[in-house]
Amino acid sequence: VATSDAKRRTTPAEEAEGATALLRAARRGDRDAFDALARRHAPRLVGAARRILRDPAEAEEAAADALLRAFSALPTLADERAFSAWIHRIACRCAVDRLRARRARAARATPLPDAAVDSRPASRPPFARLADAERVEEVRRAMDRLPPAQRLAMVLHVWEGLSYDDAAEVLGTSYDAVRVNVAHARRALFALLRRADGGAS
Amino acid sequence: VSRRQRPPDADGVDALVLAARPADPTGASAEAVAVRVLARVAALETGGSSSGPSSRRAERAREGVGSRRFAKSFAAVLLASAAFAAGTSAGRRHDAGSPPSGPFAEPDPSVALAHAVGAGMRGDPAALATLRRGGAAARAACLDRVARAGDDASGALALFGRIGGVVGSGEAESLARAHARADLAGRVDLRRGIVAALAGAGGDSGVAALSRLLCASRFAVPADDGDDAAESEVVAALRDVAARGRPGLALRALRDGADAGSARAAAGTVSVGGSQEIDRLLSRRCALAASDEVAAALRAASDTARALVVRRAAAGDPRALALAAAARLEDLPSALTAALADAGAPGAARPDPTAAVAAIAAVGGAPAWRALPLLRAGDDASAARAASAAIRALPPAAASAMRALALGSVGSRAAPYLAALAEMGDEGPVALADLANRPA
Repeated sequence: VATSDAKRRTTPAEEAEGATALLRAARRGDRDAFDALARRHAPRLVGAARRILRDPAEAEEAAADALLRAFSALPTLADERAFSAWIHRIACRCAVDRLRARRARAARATPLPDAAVDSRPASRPPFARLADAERVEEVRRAMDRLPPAQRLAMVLHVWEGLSYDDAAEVLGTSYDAVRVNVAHARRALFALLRRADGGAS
Repeated sequence: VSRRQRPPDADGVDALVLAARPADPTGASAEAVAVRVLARVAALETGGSSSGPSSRRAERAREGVGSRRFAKSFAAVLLASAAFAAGTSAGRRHDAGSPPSGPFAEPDPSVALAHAVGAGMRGDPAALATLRRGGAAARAACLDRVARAGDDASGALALFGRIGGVVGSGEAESLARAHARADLAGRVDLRRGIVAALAGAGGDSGVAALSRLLCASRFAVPADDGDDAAESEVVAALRDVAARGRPGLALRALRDGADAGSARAAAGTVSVGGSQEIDRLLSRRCALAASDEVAAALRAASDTARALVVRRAAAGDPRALALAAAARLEDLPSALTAALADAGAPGAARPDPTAAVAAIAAVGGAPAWRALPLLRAGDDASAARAASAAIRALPPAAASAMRALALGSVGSRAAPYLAALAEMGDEGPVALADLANRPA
């Protein structure tokens, strides 16, 4: 009860202050402080890695890699306030590295057949059932059918909220490449989902 | 700022995709995930069960992370290993300080580690497996024995190589220091083993240490036989690194060695990089470009590389000329003859006539015997003078070759060879008389 009361009393400002103190201690080499930080951020990192890798076990490995990498690179962190975004980008990079290393799995990913891509411009938003769980699964399946580069660009940009610049840095590619891949992915998703709707909606 | 803004989301696709975003773990699930991830971090730090690219990355990260904790955990792994603490040690020769046995003994981790290294050196597979799990700490224990330079130093070095893993810069530096120690100058096998261990080490640090060895000042000045051999071994090891799939890394190390004055390293760059490296050596006006080592490497290089040098020599590059002469490139005499005969070429784009004739003479053989008479009969007076002198110094075999060339030439084309025969000591006139007596 005391703990839950204490939790309730913690304001966002105090929480941020605590995180900064932990980060400073971790930068001084305090491993326990880093463990506390890692515990706080691990679920988010695993979530990001899962979305990229689509494999829970490997996502946890990627998150662990990211934490190790982040701990050794902590002295290079320029802005303490950006720690959360920084470690998130590291996790994305670790996951992307793992995804690329898994060439066999990448080969199994079915590329979108050319015929499935409808390049006709959309006249109106075709989707009506946004909150529908079935619809969510449809969208995820459509995401999985995207070519790997397009899916990665879409995941990093839309799901992980990275800017084109940050996504390009994570992927080791150019701003334009990410932008084009996201545009192609949108168009392909549009076509796939419209086809799943039977072209009616 | 505008570059960072997302493009307009006209079709609502982004909204749909965002709605389908799998959520992060929350609540009890998040806690469980965090625990598993932290356990995995700890396992990676102790060289646990990870494999593949991730473990290599983790190993790199481990170089700077929590060494004290790591050593403790590793010792725990070691001491928990029944294979060594009790089983494999029974009835075998013990190293000094092997761990005490018995239920009340308080084992010392460092002693257990030393014991494991001893068992590994004797070929105990269980010890080797445990040492591999130990990674950096196990390698450090091996290096400790190498640094002591005792009788078991070579064995410890071999074990270091068998443990494998990504070798950190500190470990590579320690090996390089051992290689440079004056008291180990006579330990050829040990120094050779150090070079092999550095070349075979995972990661970049081993190759970087080899590069530093190459750059050591004693390789740039005349060295005694021992250092000479060591330099050859380092260069050979770097070429081996290139052959095993890391040419860029090896090339950088060899370039550094060449820049520091190692002729063998310069030759190594040519062997690994071919015409690109020849071009680099010549463009940087490297004094080693015409060394015997580089010339030998050029002879073994591709046709493209040899043609590049000949082309640059014919275009007036004195270093390329010297290199081509040292490598005795057969295409050089004809290329130089054509370049000197080209009256329209600007002065800077023509080779120095005297140097060109000397280079042709250095190439020797049939190509030179064919070219020198033509230069002697050419318009360039200084080239003609130098060619006359070179013809007078030709061996007797050249006379019969020129006689054959004169016989095979039509009309006035025989004249340069006849004149050259007249110029040659005693052999030339004999050959001329022989020609004059022929009915044809």
